[in-house]
Amino acid sequence: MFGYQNNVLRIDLTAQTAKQEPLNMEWAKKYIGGKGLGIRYLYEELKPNTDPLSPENKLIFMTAPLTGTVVPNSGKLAIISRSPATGTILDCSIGGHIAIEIKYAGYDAIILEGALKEPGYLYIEDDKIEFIPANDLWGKGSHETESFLLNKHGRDCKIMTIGPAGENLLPMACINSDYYRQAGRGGIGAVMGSKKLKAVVVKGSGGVKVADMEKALTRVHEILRQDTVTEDNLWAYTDGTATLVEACEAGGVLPSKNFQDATVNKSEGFNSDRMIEARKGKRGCGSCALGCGNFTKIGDAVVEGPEFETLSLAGPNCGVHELKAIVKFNQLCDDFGLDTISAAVTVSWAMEMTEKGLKDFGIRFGDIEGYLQMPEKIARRSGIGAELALGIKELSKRYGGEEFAMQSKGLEFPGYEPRGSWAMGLAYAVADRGACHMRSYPIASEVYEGTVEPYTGEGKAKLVYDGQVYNAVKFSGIICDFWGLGLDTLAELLTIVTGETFTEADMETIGDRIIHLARAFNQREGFTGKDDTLPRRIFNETLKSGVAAGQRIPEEVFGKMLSEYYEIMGWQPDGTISPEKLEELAL
Amino acid sequence: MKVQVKLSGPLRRRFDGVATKMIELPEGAAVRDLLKQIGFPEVGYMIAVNGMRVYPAEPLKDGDKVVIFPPTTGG
Repeated sequence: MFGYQNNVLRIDLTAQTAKQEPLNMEWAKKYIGGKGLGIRYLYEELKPNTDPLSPENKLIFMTAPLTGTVVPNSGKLAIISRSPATGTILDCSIGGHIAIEIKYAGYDAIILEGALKEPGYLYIEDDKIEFIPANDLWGKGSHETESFLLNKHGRDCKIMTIGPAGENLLPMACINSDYYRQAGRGGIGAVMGSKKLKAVVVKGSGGVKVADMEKALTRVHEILRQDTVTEDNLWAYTDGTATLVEACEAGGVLPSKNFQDATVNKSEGFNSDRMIEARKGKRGCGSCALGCGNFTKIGDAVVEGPEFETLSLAGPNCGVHELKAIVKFNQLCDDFGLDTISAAVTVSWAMEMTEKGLKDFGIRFGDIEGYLQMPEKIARRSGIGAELALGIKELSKRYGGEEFAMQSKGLEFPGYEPRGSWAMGLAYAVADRGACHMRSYPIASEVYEGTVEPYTGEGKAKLVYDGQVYNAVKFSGIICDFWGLGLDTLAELLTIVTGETFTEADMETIGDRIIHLARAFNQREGFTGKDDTLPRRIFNETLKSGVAAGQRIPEEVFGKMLSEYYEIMGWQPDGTISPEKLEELAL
Repeated sequence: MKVQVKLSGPLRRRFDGVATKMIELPEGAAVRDLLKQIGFPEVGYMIAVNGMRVYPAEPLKDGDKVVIFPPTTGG
């Protein structure tokens, strides 16, 4: 098939050797690339019960057939491993330009195995692979590290780095690229840190062969005008994800003070209007037609962002309503290599524990000075940060407060309040990597579009499933979350690029297959339906403010949604996939 | 009566880039009347009045602050 390089770079960090091998094209037809194909490789190659932070865990960087072509919004990279935070499958997505550079260097995927003995980084220039010592960079922030490597190897290189959080093996450590882009969740940066790998530097000089270039140019031009740069998608350009702040607040789903309530009429200081006032520039990823990135600078606080998740969770969820503080928190997390979602929710949990007198972490809601010290303390495991670095699942086992430890499967909640969007609660609970808004996004129907009643369990299992299918195949294409293209368009673009015929029905089949594969991976690691749950706060405590005031998700309704979801999936009542079903799926 | 209408995100272009406009409506008008008057369909856009999400049947009153949000696909 065209679009692929038919080439995988497999690197043994222990032996410091590299070899090239053909991409498994049988799998490529069934999983496309990105998320799906990466999980397929890991499912095959990773021995069950492998310690995520051991040299035996693998770190897979996976591109897709659309990567590096003229197809818009196709510049993201999937990174796959077993999560140190949850023990589940973990696939993350990172923007910027690194995916395209890997493809231009001649690879569909890079698979990292083993671990370096001393800190180092990888330099990949087409066929040339070098293992370079990085003792001098160990301990430095992601920004300084990337600047140093750009100066050393040239500004046309693309780079991924980890910060101190990754080096210190935190379950909330991320991987950075282009300074402000992250593969954020599930401790993917800790996997890189466990391999003593400070950075990956890539320079590629090649291109990508497309099956029908004339048609690609014609159709992409049409699609760009008719289906991409349109009013439905341009929110990403005009406001970016900050546009969701005011919408979520009005919809009763912007959390307040560790999900104790919803935020109402308090977003003026950090909504998209305020973001636009403080905006200094715009940026998009490679191949992007929408350019969602916003450079924001207020005093000495500067960042590309903050994105909605950070505005929500490091904002009112920590009792903070001022943009400058959120920008600074975001900047520090990026540099120290922390996922802003998990870091902010861990801090908000510690604030509630302190205020309730259950355990004094020395930090309270709205204490901006203390909150801005948290990223470095957590990343370096210093002072109180040594405890907070554990993440809230472990912390709440140790100190109590489990009912308001806002996590599922050990992954901290994203910035949407599920009691105002019940399907979002189900989506968090059944997400393959733990509480995640990127597996399915039913809040769009329940809250933004208002086409589905939010406070009922009726029909929600199907809504969540449809969203999972859509995102699973879209993130295997790989197409960015922010382009709401139809699966018919995705199938057409894949057909033009690869030369193989794909239909909309094929997209649905592939999406469904990927959800099952991820579930099979987790099942092999011991996960069952008992893990598909939410913290007690969501079942027992009602919201007091906003349009969803009075709402909670009754546990029996949640149970019914879950049962219906399993039924749709063809799974057993306990949430497991039967051996017969696994065989039928021929994963 | 007059209500203040703010269009969010790319919808601002429909007001020629102006952040907010005062729109005059007959007494007793509901959100759906406002939507019709300024050229929006009833379905597909989130509407907030005074910071709270409402549906098209919601009655409006003088001085209400209305925000119309674009559809979004992720965050």
